[in-house]
Amino acid sequence: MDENMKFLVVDDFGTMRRIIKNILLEIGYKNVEEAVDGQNALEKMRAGKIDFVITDWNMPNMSGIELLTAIRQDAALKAIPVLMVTAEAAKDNVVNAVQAGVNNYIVKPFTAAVLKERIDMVLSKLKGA
Amino acid sequence: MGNEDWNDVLKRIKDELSVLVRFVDKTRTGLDSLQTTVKLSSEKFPEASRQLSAVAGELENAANNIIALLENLLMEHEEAQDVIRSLHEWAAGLSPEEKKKGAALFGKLEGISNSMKKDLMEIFSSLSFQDLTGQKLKKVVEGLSIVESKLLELAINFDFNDTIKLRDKKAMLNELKEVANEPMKLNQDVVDKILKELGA
Repeated sequence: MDENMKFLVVDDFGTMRRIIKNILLEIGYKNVEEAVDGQNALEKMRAGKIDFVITDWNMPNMSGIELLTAIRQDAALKAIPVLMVTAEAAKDNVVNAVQAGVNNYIVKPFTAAVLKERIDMVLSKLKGA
Repeated sequence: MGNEDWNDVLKRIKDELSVLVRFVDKTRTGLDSLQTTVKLSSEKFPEASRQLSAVAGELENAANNIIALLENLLMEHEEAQDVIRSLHEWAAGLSPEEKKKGAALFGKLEGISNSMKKDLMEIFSSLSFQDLTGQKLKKVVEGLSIVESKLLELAINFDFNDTIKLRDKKAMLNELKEVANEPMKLNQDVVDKILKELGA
């Protein structure tokens, strides 16, 4: 596990950002940035090095799926892993997210163990690729 | 045409007119009650939206307060872990018999510490209820906003007191059309403006 990996947590609800941030700290990832929506996330990604994105689906201005699409279309950002954390458990949404290039998908509410498991899963898959 | 024929025609016209008068009267009464309903709804919906938004705000504040307390507890837990580590170093200098006794106590202390940390993280995860309920409340507020805009649209189209100029009417309806695409856009200013024009 690379403790220095820089995570970007994207959610319009401040509470949720704090929850995910604390869980990441607990897992051992000390480098966590926050963004309030997709647009804000893209600005932060373009401004600095982000290694892993954890994003909500429902957000104003630019939703999680729009952010994911924008990341995958941007040559400089497209390789960054994206984990979707959302209350939307509809099959269509999961299919759309997978088609848009999501690396994994977690339905809220989730535990610290589940978040860790999914992050590890994404990272080991990328390592193996 | 004879007198009898004229009487027959006049009687039929009279009958038709009384049906028409009853219909107009019934429609007028109906419109009056519709006007009252629209007025009442236009007042009640924004209030319901405000109350629900306030609930969402209260939930968010409460969740943030709990998170702040949890963050303090996690920091204190970290300090407690440091104390346990220092105690381990101190215990290294004890006699084998005392070390054996201390090991059981250390085991218990570490067990409590680990279980406490697990519970703290569990509380963190559980707080995501705020996000879930917040999103659901937002959808309800959006729904109310759409119903409210439809009612206002109805009120403008009927224009019970015939007070709105055609040009203003068109502008208001266009404003409401935008709400259908972005429900949260229906702010109190738009509602108040329409209600004022309608004399409500």
